[in-house]
Amino acid sequence: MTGVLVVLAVAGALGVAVLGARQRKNLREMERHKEALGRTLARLEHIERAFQRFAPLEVVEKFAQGEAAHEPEYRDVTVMFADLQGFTPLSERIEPRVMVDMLNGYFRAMNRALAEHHGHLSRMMGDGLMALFGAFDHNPWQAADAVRAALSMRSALEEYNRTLAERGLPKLAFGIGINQGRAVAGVMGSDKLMEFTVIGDAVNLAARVEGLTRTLGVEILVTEAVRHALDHRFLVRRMPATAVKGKVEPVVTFAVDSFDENSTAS
Amino acid sequence: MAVLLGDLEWMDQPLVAETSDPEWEEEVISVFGGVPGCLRRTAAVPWLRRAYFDLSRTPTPSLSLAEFELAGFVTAQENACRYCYGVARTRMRMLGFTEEMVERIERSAQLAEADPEERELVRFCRNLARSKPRPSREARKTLESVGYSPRQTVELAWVTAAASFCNRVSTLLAMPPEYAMERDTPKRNLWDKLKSWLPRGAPPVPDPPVYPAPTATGILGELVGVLEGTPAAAVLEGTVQACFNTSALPRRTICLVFAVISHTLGSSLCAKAAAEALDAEGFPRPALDDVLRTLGSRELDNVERRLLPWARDTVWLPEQPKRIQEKTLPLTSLGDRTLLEAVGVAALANSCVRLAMLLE
Repeated sequence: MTGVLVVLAVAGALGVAVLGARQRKNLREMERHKEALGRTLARLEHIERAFQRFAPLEVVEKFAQGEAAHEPEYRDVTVMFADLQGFTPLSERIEPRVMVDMLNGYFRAMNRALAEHHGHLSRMMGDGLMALFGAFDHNPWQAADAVRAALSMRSALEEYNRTLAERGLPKLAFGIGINQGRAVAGVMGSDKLMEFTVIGDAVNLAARVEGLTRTLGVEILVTEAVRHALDHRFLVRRMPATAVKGKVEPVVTFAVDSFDENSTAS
Repeated sequence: MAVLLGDLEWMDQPLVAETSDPEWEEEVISVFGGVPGCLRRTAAVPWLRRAYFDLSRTPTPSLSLAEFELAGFVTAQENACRYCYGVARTRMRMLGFTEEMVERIERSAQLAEADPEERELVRFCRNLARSKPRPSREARKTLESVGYSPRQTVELAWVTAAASFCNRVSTLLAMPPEYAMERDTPKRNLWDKLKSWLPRGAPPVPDPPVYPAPTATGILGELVGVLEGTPAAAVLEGTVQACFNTSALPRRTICLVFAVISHTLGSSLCAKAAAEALDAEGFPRPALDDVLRTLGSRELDNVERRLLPWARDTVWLPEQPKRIQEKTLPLTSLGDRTLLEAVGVAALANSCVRLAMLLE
């Protein structure tokens, strides 16, 4: 009888030990899965945050939650095009590595100036860029922000040119065109490549105005719609009306020279 | 999407010094049992310290304590306020939320797994705090469709607006986090876990602030009216009146800050109230139009010229609070008192405009 009890006790103890070991193993397994889930979530959040640079928050969140694509809509936006002038012939004379390095430094400096004034770098096209103001968030001061960003970009380029000169590299020069108007904003592209951007006449005109900076020999050129949103603190010059592709009437533009915070000029 | 506590960049140096006022501290201690740093650093401006104190303890009878804390917690996280986020997180843990539960709430990627009531509460408060754009009537309906009553919706909007006020004040002044309190976060051992199954009384609730009955007249009276029947109505009316009537900033400067913030967020109700108040101050309408069109006007004085572009930047706090703190830093040259007043006015305007979504 005692022998049977001992055997039963040993068997019971063994059973408990085996169950305990299995339990511990399961707990370790669960802990590992939990950690892996935590890492995956952290990565997902990192990706979501990174995507906020490319599209408005609500668009990113909809995509992240697997909801239907963002409905395109009309938005009042200010569009800026900036293009390096004379960079293509220049790029043929310098090493590709140096050229890319020069461009990267330029884009970094421009992006800082844009972000400082509520702008978003929307697209880079070779040595050119398109920036948007008011496309991501409601911004009643988008036109003035764009012009102040352009002036900051001009200062940033001067600064950048000094560093290029120190390295024995040629100076860069650019032209900036800015227009304000209604455009369709949404996620566009194919299933392979998509972007949040704006399209419409207002965008085309901004690009044409940027092209006019070469013709008119100025750095920063804005349309009448933008000029209307600027106050006495901006020093602007009216330029001769010029014909542009896609417009029946010649377009009136204004060159922007400076911004003086404390100006009291009439 | 909001950043987690440990990832927030926060200025090391607060932008204003602490002020010692024994009488004030005694009052705070009688309610909270101690004086948090935020109530010491705002102590130099009576209306501001009172607003911070009262907005954070206004009762919300239609909400459970957990809902109240949850709303404040997600608002603090959404506003990226290191100070309030740390305090709110600790309070959640003290209330019995496990670390796992808190993490699930603060990680938006896991929101889909939450139950509908919690998910919609978190969404509503986050969207209202963020206001990019402000939640619409539709958002209120969604909240009601998962079981929240209209009164609860109003009180959730109030908690979000009130928390947003405290978040902005703390962020803009770079309030040093309450590290000591955060370190005291309860570590739950086996006994605590077992104890949580036992019935227990509700944690102590601080005494409510005392205000005269609201009249829903005067500036932003409509906004007070929408809170009718809740304790928040009297607190909001008292706070707005104290701000407009006792601030050391000129009344027209306060109105201009309200006008700029209302315009940025597109609140016609608050913009109209600010414009009418500016009319009463004799501020020319064309000059206001200039301000709303360009953020500048020849009519502005030197302080207003500096405050208005900054006020506009307080509407959508950046992902990293250090950026707005760096923009606020130059305003310290105006002196502690003026900076505190400006921060308080901007914070109150932001909260009122968010609350106005209940009427717009």
